[in-house]
Amino acid sequence: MAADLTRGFTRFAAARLGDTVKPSGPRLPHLPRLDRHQALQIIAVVTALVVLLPLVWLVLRATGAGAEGLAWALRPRTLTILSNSIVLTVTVMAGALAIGLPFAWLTARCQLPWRRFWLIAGLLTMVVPSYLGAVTLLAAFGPRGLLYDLLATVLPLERLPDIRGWFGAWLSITLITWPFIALPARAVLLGSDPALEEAARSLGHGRWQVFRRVTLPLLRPALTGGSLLVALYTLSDFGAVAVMRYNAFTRAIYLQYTSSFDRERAAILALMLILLTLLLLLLERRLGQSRNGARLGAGAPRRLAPLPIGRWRWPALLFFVMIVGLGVALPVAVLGSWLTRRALFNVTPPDMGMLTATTATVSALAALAAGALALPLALLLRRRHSRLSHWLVALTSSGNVLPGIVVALALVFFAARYLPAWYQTVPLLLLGYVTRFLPLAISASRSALEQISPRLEEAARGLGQRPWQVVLRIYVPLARASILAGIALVFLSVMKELPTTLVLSPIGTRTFATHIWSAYSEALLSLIGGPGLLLLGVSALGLIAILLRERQPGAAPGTGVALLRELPRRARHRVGHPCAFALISHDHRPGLPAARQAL
Amino acid sequence: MTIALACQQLGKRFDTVLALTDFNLSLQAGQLLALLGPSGCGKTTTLRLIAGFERPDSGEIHIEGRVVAGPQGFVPPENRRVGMVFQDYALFPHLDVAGNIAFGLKGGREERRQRTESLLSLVGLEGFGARSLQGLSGGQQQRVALARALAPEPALVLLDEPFSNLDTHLRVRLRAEVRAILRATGTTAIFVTHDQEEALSVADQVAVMSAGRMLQVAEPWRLYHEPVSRAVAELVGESNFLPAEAEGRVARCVLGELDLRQPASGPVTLLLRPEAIQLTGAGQVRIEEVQFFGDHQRLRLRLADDTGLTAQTDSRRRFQGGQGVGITVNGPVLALPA
Repeated sequence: MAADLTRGFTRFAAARLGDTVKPSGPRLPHLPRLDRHQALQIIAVVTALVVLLPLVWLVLRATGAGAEGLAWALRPRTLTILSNSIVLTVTVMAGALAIGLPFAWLTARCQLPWRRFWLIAGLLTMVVPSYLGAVTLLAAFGPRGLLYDLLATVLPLERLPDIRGWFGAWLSITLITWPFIALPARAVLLGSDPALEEAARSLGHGRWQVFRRVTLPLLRPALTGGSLLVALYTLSDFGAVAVMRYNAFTRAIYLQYTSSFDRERAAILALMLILLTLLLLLLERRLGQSRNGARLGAGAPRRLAPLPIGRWRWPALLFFVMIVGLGVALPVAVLGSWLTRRALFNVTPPDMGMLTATTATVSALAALAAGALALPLALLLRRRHSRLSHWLVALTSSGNVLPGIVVALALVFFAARYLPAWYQTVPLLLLGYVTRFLPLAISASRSALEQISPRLEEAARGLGQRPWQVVLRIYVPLARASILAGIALVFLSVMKELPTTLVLSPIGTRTFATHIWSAYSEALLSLIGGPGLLLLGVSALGLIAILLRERQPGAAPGTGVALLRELPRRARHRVGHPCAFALISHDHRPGLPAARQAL
Repeated sequence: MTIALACQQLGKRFDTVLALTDFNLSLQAGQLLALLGPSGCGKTTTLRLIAGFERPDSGEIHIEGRVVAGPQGFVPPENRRVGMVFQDYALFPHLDVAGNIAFGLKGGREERRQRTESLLSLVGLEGFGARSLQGLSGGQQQRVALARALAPEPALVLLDEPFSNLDTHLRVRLRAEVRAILRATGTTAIFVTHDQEEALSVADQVAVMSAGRMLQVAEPWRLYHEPVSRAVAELVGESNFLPAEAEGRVARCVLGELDLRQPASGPVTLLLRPEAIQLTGAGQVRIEEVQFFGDHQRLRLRLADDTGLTAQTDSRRRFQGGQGVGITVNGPVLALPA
């Protein structure tokens, strides 16, 4: 290359001097081009800047308030918000563990009637957006909800106790977060070497002792990692908390922003929430410990025979009926009842065509943009020696780790100050979506790319392919299924996303999520039925499509059973390393791909 | 001598696959038995039945005179006093070396600590107690697994393909070590292998299995020189089989009249081990191929009537493909049923 450069320079100099030099070689020398690595790094730098600048601006706004701001942050009323958030997070973690661990154990190890059905039905709770779950729970168990209607026919009741507040928020979020614990735990129960438990049996331990001394320690990283995801989700959830009027950070930030338009105070609250989230990540780093229960040796992998549970199957079935009933059947039933009752009310029905078109368009645009950006970033991550690029990509995942409301506010503040032309436009909304969900697409592509041996790239280069040709001819075809799965995942997430849409969408642009939100705010519940059911239906179909696609023989594991199984372990190794960010944040719905093996 | 283990007429079926049928075995205390057979022949199933991880469909298992599986009942693995060394070792990743070894120990803290120490020195891992498993080599992990299985002083130790995860060099060394440790502790043990050299060199008794059946149990010398059937001879060592007509202590075959180990009559199959064929000077037998191993060499021979034979000799004499040699048979040969 240096020789090329010199030759090019001499010729350039000669041309300047007025000499007419005929090209001596077969082709004109060209300027040294950027190699692929540098091009990828530029993409990474730009992406990281776009994601991070608004957040930096938000932090600057918050800290700019100085002592006055600090005093405001330490007011008892502000501290109540903090304690509310912590109480909710801790109780949701406990609830999710109480559901997730038995669920994992029963579906992985026990002779349960209709095991597959319960597994799939249970996983469907993941497609219910938190605001929809909360609205339907409220409609069913609220003071004058459906349960009241039912009971009032036989009992002289005035009203039922109000579930709004902590209990309602706790129930709504617990019902959708327990799979974060159940799925990794189940993967460990299925994937760990059965010989470990057999060894303990042969060393004189009974079943319960084996569980306590071997199984539980093996599960610990999965439970820790899962609990962390639950906690992150709880802290960042906006929908359920807002519907249930529980004054946690996300709701308080939104109220501060909408009611008083006090950006500085909203920024202070957002900063507090960011710090809390970072604290949680640090905590995980301290708690996590390396456990590797996977089998080392050769030989056919074996599974433990399912345990007969005898009479215990009745309480177990009741447990599953409760979870599936509250988490899946109830939202569907309530939405269905609204759909049929709509005629009773004299309100204009929503323009479903328009709503669907808008939702589909913004979701598709955001998903394609994220997919296109994810590929180069995932390729960059293949180069393990490049620390800088790992940092950059990890930093981009902060858009996904941090609560949606915070990210959206940061963008609004930033745009209002520096990009007034973008303020209240669809491009800004799309930018918000990409910021939020790019890491989903990255991790999908990444885990598939990691399966591809570097020898293939070397072979292709040896056969005369340029780097970009290698990408198009080797990586893209081999990772296609996963790249598409990642795009689909972003599509589904955008379709359901409430806080980003609520804050960033231009007036008049309505998606399903914002439509449901405003119908709820105006107490026009009957308008929720159609869009709500459509949202659930598309999400469920999307989930099934992604799972089926990944099940095809030969398809590289996409969004990653392997990744999920290793999540807690890898997170520990790399929390110090920024990749842990990407891994932990991996998704707010991380279990989805792991469900593949379940099907 | 007490009988440590007895299996009577064991049968086990997985769905439609017959894993084990009419399996009988008895093992004296203090002996080391190798279970030899091709993969999928039911070796590992046998171990798992003895350990109590599977229930037999029929038959009985006695350990130290007590029935642990049979029509009358089933003793769970934790109450059998059977130690197991797994193929992949199955060490508990959340415990250190000492924690793994002490896992099955009962009693007070000090007692357990002392027992752990003595086991560590037994397997040559003094000072490794506080190490985590990650830093251990394959051979060290193997020794931890053995110490863990020996710790509760089991009546019987089962080793499932114990050396298969090690490289050749280490394997040879560890075989000798494991054998010495089992001898030193007087432990009764069964190990599963598909490597005949390993079975013959390590075990007191070798049981040969094929397709879920026990073919023969014998000490290594007998198994090699006096297999009961052609199938056993094929599974243990290299063999030449020649059809022959026996009469008393002699048999007539393509090589002429040969002496028999035992009298027989009628049509038989003669078993000639390659090293029993000696090469003399020039002759009618053509050498087709020479495989040179350094300490010995193996020759593919073709007789005038087109019969193929394999011979093995020391490596001093130099042979070439296409060369003609004469052969004689050294010592009496075994007549197997035709």
